[in-house]
Amino acid sequence: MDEKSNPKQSRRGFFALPAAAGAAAAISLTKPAAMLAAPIIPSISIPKEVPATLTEQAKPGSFEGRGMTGAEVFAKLCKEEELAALFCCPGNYTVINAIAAAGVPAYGGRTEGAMCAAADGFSRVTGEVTACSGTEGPGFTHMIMNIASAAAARTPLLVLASNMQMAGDDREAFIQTGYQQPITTGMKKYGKRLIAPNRVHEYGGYAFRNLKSGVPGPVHLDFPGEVARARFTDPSTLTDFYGKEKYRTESRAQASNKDIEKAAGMITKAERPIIVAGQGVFQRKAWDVLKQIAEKQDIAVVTSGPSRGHFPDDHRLSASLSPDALMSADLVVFIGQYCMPSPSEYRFSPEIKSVRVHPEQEDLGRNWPLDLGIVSDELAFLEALANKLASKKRDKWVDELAAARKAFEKTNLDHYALGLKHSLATNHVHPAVMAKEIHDFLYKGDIDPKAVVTGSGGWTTGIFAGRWLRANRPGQGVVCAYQYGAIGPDMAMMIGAGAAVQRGVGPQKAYKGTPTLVVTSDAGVAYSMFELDTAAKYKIPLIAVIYNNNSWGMWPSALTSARSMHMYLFQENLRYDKMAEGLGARGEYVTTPDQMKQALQRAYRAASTESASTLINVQALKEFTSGKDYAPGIALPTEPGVGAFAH
Amino acid sequence: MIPVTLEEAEVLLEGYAARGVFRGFSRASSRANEAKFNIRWHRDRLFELTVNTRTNTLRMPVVLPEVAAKSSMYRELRQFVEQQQAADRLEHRRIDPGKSSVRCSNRAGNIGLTVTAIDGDLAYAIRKLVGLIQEIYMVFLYDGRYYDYMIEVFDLDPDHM
Repeated sequence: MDEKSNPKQSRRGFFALPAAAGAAAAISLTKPAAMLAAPIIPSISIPKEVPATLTEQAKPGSFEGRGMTGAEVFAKLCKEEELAALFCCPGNYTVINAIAAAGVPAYGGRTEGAMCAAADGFSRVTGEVTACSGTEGPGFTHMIMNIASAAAARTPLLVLASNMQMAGDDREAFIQTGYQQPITTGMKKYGKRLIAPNRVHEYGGYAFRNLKSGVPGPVHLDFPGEVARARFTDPSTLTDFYGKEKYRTESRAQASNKDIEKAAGMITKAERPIIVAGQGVFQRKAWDVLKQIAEKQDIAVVTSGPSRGHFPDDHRLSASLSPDALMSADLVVFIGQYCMPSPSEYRFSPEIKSVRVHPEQEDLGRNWPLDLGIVSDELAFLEALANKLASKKRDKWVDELAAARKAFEKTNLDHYALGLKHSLATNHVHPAVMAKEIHDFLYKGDIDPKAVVTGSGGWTTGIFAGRWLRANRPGQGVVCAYQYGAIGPDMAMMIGAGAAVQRGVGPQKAYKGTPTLVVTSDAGVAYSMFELDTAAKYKIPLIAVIYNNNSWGMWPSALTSARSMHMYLFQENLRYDKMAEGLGARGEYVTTPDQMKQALQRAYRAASTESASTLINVQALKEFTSGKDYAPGIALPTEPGVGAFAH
Repeated sequence: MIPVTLEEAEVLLEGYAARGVFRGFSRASSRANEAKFNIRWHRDRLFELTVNTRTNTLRMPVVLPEVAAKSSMYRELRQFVEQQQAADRLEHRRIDPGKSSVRCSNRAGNIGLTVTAIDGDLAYAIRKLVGLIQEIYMVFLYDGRYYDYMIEVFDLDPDHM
């Protein structure tokens, strides 16, 4: 929104008007007119220390002089391991300060939970190891939902937290004491409370060995004060103090020739083969060889996992937008599918044959009985397969994929037409209309369709947006609610993704500095909206589209239950756009498709030119989700494919 | 045409359980030429299937529950089933009406399916019935029009997909 043309809705005006009015009313009763001047409300501004300290030279610890703290030893290892970023709230001070000082890009935000989601988001669009940190007890436990979410997504996330002192164990000394490791049971790949100060480097090695080997997952280290603050002036006092090339290996499992031949034979024999390219393909940056293989034999590819784009949606062999064709496939090859579905969860034929390639033997055969299981690193398998496969054309299969895509796009347009009718009739925006407006803006206008990284979450919102958001290159899409189904981390997750784009990390290099966009719900926004402050502080440009239907998405669950509906509803017409303005972002409020178009344009311009974030409050009606009253209702997403948020 | 015995039908059906399509499978009862099987499958529901090798029919009395006979949903399901047999349908997805006929029924709101192997090829009929139910649960019900039905009848929510 243009503040100059509409001063009543400026950020400053938002606070100034009611505050001034209230103050004037109170003063006018007792004070003379000369004292009625409105108080001066200072503008929201970024403290000068923020840019000043962000540009300081790194200053890692040294064994010289007073020596290195345990935190500095650990930070040095993080830097050597190229930890991509740290997202934190103050707490665990010694460790976060040391990591920042060592030169790891660090971000400080408003809640530990949101910072954990931001770290996850950074990793989901880069594949890199990221860290989050919080203080003992409260800060750590605040992260739990998003640690679990990262675990479900197999994110290589390093979870750090301080944890008082060992000397205080079991004494409830002072505050914030708690046993952390049992709390992350079931949601981490590896965890350790560090209790021997001189083993801090050794356990750092444990952490990165787990983060960078096999199937990724969160690693949780908690640092008692005795470890973080211990001092070391001589490296010989540290156990296993050697480099990463000694404590872990880049060697990966390789499929045998026999397995490769068998897989190549099955693929060649199949009439309608499909590859499900899971997160492992993204993690191992195997997208180029995947495309080469698909094109060599006209093999359909559908992506799965928390990241999207490792096979482009706009490729002729992509089945991600061709749900009707999935049931025709006669062979599925799962590659890097870390979270395995059961056969009745994926839209495949009951007759389909299956091959699965996975880096760890013990997971093969879980949930989905296999015709062929292959233990291999994803990249190694694809490279070996590329050498083995002969070229083959499958014109009929390619035609079927194209026809199915056309049908899917027609269905989307039919939904949009219905939604538009409802929008015009009610002066509220239907979710199908919101989703198509975003789609057209990002992929049909002046913007490079490969540029903007998007993510979506929420129930109603996520389902509708999922049908329209596209990922045309690696790391262009984030499935925020992937597998754990957490409602709410979306905005923070996409701020983390935005930080990666801002820095041009990994697959984001070519699009460095481009704004990111998140679509989430009024239910979800409550969990991480305060991070708009963080986005503003670091000038990470985010466009946050909030579908505001005044309710939790599952409100129909209360329809047949007495005394229940009130639990599912919020106050109506809440102004999230105004709240955003109060946090230093821009706010937009829309009730029509045209307003939506214009708001997106203004938001993108502000993001591109001023690195400003915008929250677009899209006012809707909860009843739009009912297929009876407002067709099309909610069309559940097909797994696998666009919009899928599981497996 | 290759005649199929009850034992062979059972082996065919067990194959789906072995491939994880069915989550559970057992023969519930049998008499001459007819056997009833229990199948745990979509939405974790128990489906009952009767196989009769004398009449070459497969009968599943409850494919979808609580659908009124005069509802648009029932009408649309019948159309969906008819489309599976249409001449313009892709061959690998089609139920050949010359080999198997498919009939929908609605008894007290329970939609049932009966597939008859016209040419006696019961193995084909089994494959097509299993495929059809997969299509009903994975394609037909995923249309937004049945979202309310999924919530009301199958307790669909994000905790119970």
